[in-house]
Amino acid sequence: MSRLIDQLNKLPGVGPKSAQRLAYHLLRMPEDHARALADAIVEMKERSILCERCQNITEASPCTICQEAARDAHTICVVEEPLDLVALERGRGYRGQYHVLHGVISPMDGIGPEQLKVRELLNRLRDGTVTEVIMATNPTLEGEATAMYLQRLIGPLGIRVTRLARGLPAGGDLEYADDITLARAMEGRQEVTS
Amino acid sequence: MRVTELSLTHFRNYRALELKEIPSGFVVLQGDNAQGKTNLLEALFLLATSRSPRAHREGELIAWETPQDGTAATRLFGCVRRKDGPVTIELLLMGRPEARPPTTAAVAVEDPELLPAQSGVRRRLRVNGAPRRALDLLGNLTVALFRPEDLDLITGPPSGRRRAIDILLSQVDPRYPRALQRYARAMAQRNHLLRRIADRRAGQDELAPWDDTLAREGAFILDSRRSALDRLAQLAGSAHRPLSGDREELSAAYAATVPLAGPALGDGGAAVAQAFLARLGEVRARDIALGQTTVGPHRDDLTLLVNGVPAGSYGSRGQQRTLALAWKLAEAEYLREVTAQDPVLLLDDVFSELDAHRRGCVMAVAGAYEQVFITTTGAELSGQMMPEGSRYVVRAGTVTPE
Ligand SMILES: [Zn+2]
Repeated sequence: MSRLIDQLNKLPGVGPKSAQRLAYHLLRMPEDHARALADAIVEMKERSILCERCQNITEASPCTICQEAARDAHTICVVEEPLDLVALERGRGYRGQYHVLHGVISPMDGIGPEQLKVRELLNRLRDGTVTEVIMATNPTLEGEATAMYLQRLIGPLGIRVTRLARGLPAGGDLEYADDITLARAMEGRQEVTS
Repeated sequence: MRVTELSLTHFRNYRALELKEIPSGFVVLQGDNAQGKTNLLEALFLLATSRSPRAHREGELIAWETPQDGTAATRLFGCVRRKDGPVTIELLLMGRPEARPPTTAAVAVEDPELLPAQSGVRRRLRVNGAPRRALDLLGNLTVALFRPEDLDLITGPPSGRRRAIDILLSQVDPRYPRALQRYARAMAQRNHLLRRIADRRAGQDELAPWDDTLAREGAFILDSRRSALDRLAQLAGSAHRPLSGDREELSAAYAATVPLAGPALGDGGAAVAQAFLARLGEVRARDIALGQTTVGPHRDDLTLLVNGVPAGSYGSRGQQRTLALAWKLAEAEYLREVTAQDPVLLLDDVFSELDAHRRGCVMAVAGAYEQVFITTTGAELSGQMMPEGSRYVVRAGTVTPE
């Protein structure tokens, strides 16, 4: 029991008290439900891989988004995390490709471009198909710095680099923005110049 | 503006203090030493800025044990009557449970001078009952705090002067504390990166975005500081003349660690940003070797000059104290000018070191503000020097109207 509480406590947003409550809830659960939950967790871990193109989490690579023929192949939208991609898809305003960095540059956390999917992004830009890269990193200091860093790499390749328009709450996550705000941010995106 | 109500719970030596209907004018807090006079002014400063003027160890603010359930032990509450209406400010201070590992945010600020050091104290703020971030508190209650340590503004190290002007500007321009915060965080990131570069775990090309951010935010800080300093020097000159009876010319010099072309323009420093960026490039090798950012507003100095001579090397101790007083009076006047409202003056034990003439000058100037809190042991404010106003006796954490 205490092992389970410790594990739950490690989850984001779960304090010691909620961990206890959850553990007791799980204890009272019918055994087949508990097993289904445990299986789902393990299965997700075993089956999830990164899409070879966009680096999003998927069960089959390339992922369904990358395989969709109707999507615009000339535009890539760069996001920090898979959940940001989910938020943008929910908004339905965007019909291009994605690229998931899996984080932002933050030297104090030991994270540089090497630790992110930056090389994978540059590889996708090589064949000249992509004409615009949209930076949709969060408007935090680190999100901005990551966008600036990528702009310096991508700009010289002759590819247009744009940034989502403001209107997102400062320091706020894409993940929590509502659909209309997201659609507006996408429409009003602006050229990044260094 | 003025404070009409103050309530303190478990704050320093106050178990429960409730002051209602605090009048305007002079509010004299009289009592022996170590009875809680200074703590009361500190509480008002905290309600204005969410920071303590003296606590490097802010844990000391919570003199009482934090309950196990994580509720706040220490509560400060104030009502402020502003020109545009009343505002209530509530500040809850809680000890951080030791077990919790430090987050990135908690180690973000490396330079304790530019921003107060991170401490184990968590704070929760409400303005008019609505939760606010510390940055959004500033400007609701503006204060000018006078205390014996002000002499350090003249004779002490640059850090105290930087902190003074940072607090001043933070009270009048909401963009300023944000720029300070972004600057400090970008610098912390850059310093980590410098060390990673020295260890060959990162490349120099990764510096660019942090240099850009530092230059942009730093230029704004520089430009704001220099504009304010010019005005402060003028106001200090006006305040100094009656105090000293001399005709010394006061001016100010901003010693920047990045080249500054021309005067402050009040434009956020677009030209300065370019020069700053170029300078960061020039010192890059040194910065990598030291693992530190060696240029920028966190290393600058600002000095008051008397007839062109730095105030710290001018005159006697008494004259330097007069200069410090002139600086503080200039700060108060600056707050009044920029916000078009009187700040609340907090005079903590400033009279014991002054002669009768200077005391009279200070009382005359202070009397023109809407509300002035003064602490005194009573000894130095005898007879005619005692200001007309309301008097409270402070004794062992109690405050009683006289
Ligand atoms: Zn994909």
